[in-house]
Amino acid sequence: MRASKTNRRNSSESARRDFIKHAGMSLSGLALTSLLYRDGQLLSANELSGAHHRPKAKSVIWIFLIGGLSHLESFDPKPALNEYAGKTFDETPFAEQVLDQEKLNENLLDPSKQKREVYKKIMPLQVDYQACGNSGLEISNWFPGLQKQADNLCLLRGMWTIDNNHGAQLTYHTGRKITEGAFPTVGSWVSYGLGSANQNLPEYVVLGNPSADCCGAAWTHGASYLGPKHAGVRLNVDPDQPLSFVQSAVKDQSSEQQARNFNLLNKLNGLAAQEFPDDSDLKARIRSYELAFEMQTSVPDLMDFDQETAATRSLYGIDTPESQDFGRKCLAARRMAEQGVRFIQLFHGYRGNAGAWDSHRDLKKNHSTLCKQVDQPIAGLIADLKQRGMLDETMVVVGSEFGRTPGAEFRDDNSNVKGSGRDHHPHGFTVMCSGGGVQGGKIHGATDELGFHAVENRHYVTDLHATVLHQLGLDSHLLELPGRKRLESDIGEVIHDVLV
Amino acid sequence: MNYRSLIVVRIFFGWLLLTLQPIGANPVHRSTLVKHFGDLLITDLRGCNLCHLGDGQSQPSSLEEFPHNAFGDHLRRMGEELVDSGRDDSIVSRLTELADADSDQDGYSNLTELLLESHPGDDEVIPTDALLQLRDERVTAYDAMRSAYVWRPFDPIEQPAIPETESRWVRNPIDVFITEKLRARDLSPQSEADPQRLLRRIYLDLVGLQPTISEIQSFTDEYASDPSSYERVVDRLLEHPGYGERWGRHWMDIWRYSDWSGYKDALRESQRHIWHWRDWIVESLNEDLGYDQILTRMLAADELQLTGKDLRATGYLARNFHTNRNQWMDNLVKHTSQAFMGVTLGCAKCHDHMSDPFPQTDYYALRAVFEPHAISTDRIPGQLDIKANGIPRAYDRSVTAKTYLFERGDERFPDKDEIIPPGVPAILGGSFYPETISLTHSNANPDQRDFVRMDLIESLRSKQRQAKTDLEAEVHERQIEALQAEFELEAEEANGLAETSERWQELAKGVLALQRVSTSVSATWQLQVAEESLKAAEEALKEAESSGDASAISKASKQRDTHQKTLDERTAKQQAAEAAMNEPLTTKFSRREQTTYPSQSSGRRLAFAKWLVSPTNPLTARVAVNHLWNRHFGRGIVASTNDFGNTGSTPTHPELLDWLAAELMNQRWSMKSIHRLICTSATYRMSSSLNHESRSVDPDNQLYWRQNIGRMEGEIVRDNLLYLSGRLDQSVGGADIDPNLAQKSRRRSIYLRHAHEKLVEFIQIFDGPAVTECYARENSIQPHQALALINSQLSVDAARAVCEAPKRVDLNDGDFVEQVFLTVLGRNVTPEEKKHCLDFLETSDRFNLTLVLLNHNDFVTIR
Repeated sequence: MRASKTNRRNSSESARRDFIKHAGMSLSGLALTSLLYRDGQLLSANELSGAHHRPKAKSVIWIFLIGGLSHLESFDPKPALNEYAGKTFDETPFAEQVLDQEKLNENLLDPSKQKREVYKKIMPLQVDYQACGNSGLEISNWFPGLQKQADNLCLLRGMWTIDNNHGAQLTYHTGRKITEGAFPTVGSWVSYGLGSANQNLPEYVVLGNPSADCCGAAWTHGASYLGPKHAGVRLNVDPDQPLSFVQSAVKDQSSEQQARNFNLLNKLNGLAAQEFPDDSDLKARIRSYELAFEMQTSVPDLMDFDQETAATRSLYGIDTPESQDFGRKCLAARRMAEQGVRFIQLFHGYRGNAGAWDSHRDLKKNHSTLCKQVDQPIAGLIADLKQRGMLDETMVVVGSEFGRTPGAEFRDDNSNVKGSGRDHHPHGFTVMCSGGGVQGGKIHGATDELGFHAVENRHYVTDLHATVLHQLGLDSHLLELPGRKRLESDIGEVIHDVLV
Repeated sequence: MNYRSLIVVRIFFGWLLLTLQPIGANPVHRSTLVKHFGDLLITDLRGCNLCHLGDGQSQPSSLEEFPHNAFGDHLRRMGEELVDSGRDDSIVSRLTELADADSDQDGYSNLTELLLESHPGDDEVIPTDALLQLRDERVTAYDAMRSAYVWRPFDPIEQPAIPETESRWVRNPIDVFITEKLRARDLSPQSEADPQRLLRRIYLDLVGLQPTISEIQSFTDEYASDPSSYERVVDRLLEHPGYGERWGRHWMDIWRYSDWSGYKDALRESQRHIWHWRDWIVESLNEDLGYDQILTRMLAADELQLTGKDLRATGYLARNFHTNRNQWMDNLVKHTSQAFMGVTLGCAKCHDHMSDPFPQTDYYALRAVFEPHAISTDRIPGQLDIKANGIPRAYDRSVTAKTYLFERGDERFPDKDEIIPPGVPAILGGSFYPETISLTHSNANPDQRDFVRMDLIESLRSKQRQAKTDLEAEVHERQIEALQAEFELEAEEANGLAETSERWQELAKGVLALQRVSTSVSATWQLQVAEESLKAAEEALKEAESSGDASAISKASKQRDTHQKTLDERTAKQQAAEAAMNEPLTTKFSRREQTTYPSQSSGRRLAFAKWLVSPTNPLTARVAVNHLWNRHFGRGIVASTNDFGNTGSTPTHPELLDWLAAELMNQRWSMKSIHRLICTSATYRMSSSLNHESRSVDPDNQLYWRQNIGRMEGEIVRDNLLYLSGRLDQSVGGADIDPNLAQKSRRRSIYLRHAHEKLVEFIQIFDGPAVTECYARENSIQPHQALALINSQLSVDAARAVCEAPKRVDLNDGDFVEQVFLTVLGRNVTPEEKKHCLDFLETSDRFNLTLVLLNHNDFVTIR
């Protein structure tokens, strides 16, 4: 069984190589491919790549909010928190089920190493909710834009993770605890499994500053043992400076000469690849030069938003100062999806250390400010994808490493400090999806009455990965490399219930 | 209390304990047991039931309710036996004694049952046939685990014995430890790298510059007949000034070197002129100053009473300066513990450390070590303006600075009930005794040093030379006189002259007399200047009046009034000065402005440094050698170089790491001796080529069956673009260079400014270090790097210089190709490569060929 899986991978890999050899390896061939795209004759993802089955989606826009979005103030309303506000868990009928030590330890990897006090004093919801759209999906008032998109959204309310500290940022992307080191991220599996649908751009792009050093840093878009070729490529959205060193310092260097240079380089590195056939770094470097050559023109084009109408820019919140920055990233993401970039990973909330969303204090002020930065851009992105007929084949995923505690973060009862924030919460939180063959207006999974434990349709983060991969035509079970052991928990299970 | 009542109390408390606490299996025994067997003990055998009867779920209140089973009882009896015979009765010894016994009499020994998922205390549970097949395998695994070297990073370092070996591959003890592990997995080491690759590797590794053509040629010739020529190369490179620059950058990553940053002129982080510290690092490495000395001086050069340039060492502390004092202290605690000790004490700011045995107070105790200190800038010879240049250094501003624990790490809520004394984590052992240090007079009064006095006098002399009038010249003459009299007084004060003494009063009066003269002459000169200005203003007014221009008249008149006002003020001043001359002399002269430090230093930092570099400190040497190994092999023996605690990585070769750590101390903390050991080992000299069989066993090369393939760091890429094209300016040291000049400057990259928002993009693209922290570099491969290397001015200039060099201009194409391969890639061209290059030259020029080679994978790659 193992052997046949491997064969299948190898055959898809070689199919991809054949394609590239056939159509893409020569630079003129690459340019031709990009012309095909611009003329709208996009080949189906299936014909281009090593998919395991017919894909539903072509691209994923993966939005990560660094630091921990409160599920309780976004997508998972818990009236009980208002009802019992100021009381402790023990004064509610739910104490026993919530505080069961075994349950508390159930999710955590190495619970003995993850001491964290349970804050029992209940903090009321810091924002009101509204039932929205035909579906009546409840979304908090800090997300007025997303409220209008309710019927396009699917809320996974039963998510959980294994780390109660911000190392969970890495876990969210790899399924592994940060102490285990780097593992392939979901985006790198996409890159590895499918290759590119566009030779002019990387298949896996990262916009925004990723997690800080504490919490995974570049590993959150890394490829680990899949080789650096499959790691996310970071780009700027600044139209004036989309890419450094994009022009040659040689005055009047002709494009013919450039092409000849890249050609010779390709030949020489190709000879080195014969001497070192297993050097994955060398392969990655060859690919990086092919890409670099194309990106000299493709990236400035991509970030040139002048081609977009004022209405579109406004839709993404680019004309509002708070949301301008993230709006640009979302718009760039749509443009990349149009061009066939497979996995577009957007980071929001880099602030060094844990990240901006980490609201141990002043959650109300903190979250309401941050929501203004991301709500309109994300809502605009979904609306725009929809109006362009792209939403069905583009999956938007919004999440963060964990949720936040129902209890207010307090010190002790004598203290005059009023808990105004919530602590880290790995036991239950929400991830929002839209498009790419996922049902709209859908709720899947639930936390308990206090929003503490995920109790229904519980999913570990890698189930989300498996689902994303599945929609792109990849079977997570078949993704493996010889000599690399993948655990069941790395592979995850597809969340079929939410698929169209 | 009499004896009888003591017994009563004992009984009472014994009873109380029994009643209040339900009896469970001794948790210490249980965790010892689990630790002893590791993963070999299945979960079902980790519960109370292993030794006790019953369901293990109810809450028994006594041993009667919770009796031992046959195995538990046996263990208990063995304990008593061991005590009676005066032997160690620990649970491990009891287990060892009873391994071959069969407590439940079911025909299978206790050890067999424990390893084969069966119950040693229940005769109804016996190993299944399937598991019995695995018996030998499991026993072997168990024996291997028991005999494996135990990694105890928090225990003092003992140098392990070097295992005996018959391997002929071994060159030094490093190889013995490496080959042991390879043999255990049936792996064999790769052969030695070919001479050209080996040479390029060692050059780039030790000095960050690749060998020149002549160096390559002479080495390959010599090496063929005399293999020891490699050792000579290592020795030579370790004496090359580039060593300090290359490895200086390594330590600057770990010690968080950053030039000053802040909005416009505001100083927010680090200090101006912190580059003095960088130069000190480079010089100290080149001199092979012991690592213990390096740390001690960085933490406490001022408390060691070092002076002048030696105070540059405390740049380590100056770099941590932050406008927010709490942030400043936090950074110091966090990074001192990570960089030097390999523990994340910063995590204990808000609560006890979540995975390592550091209570929250450990964080604040270390903060208390740093609490008294502050940063100042000392003058350097020839420069009185410390804004223009000076040495940022640490000093203690108070010997009694108080540290309070912040509740939940929140600085708004210090717990003022208790002052946290300075200290070190108890779990790490050692002794820490701060003693107050009395600074020498000159150290407490750095502006009284001879050179500062000379510079002050010289600056007045210089003004005097530029004087326009005799009177102005006299002003400076009098100032010099007064200053010299003050210096004389200061000198006698430094020798203990008390203010109460007659001599002091006499001198003070003398200073005052000269100051009065100086003030008076100066006032007269000022008055003269004002008179002249008024005269000029009056003439200007007359001129305006004759022109009749109303606005000009009003302006000129206003100016005249201003000058009149100045004149009036100066007249009054001059009169006052005159009058003062006639007043009786007192001792109240005015002292010059100067930087002074408190005469005492708390000694906390020095005590901490002594504890840190004491041979009994378990972490310092281990962390140090691991940092060295990390740069030589691309991965630390402990991969998480800044975390040796429970959340850190497990070492691949703990025994080797301990051996090296002890060796570092044996070699008087000489880092060069460790470099020499590493670089001359057979392990280091292996080829980096892959071997399919080895790779299938150990894909990440954890066991070092080959050398790892490296990539030049960003600084090294830039330096070599300059060097191989003969344009590198190899001068050492000096002020930081504007990062915007990175493409044009020919200095080594270590001298370019490195600060928040002042980074060199070209270097950052090749995974340059973050300013905030960088304990290990990444090696990414990104299209940005390709663009930087093919399009940048640096590459273009390098390619042009290489192909236009006079020695190459007259070469024919074939020779040119051969030379340029050696120059850029450090190796011979292959016939096939040569053919492609010659074909290329049919349509393109040599410049473009060279540019392509600078982009060849073999340029940035270190094989």
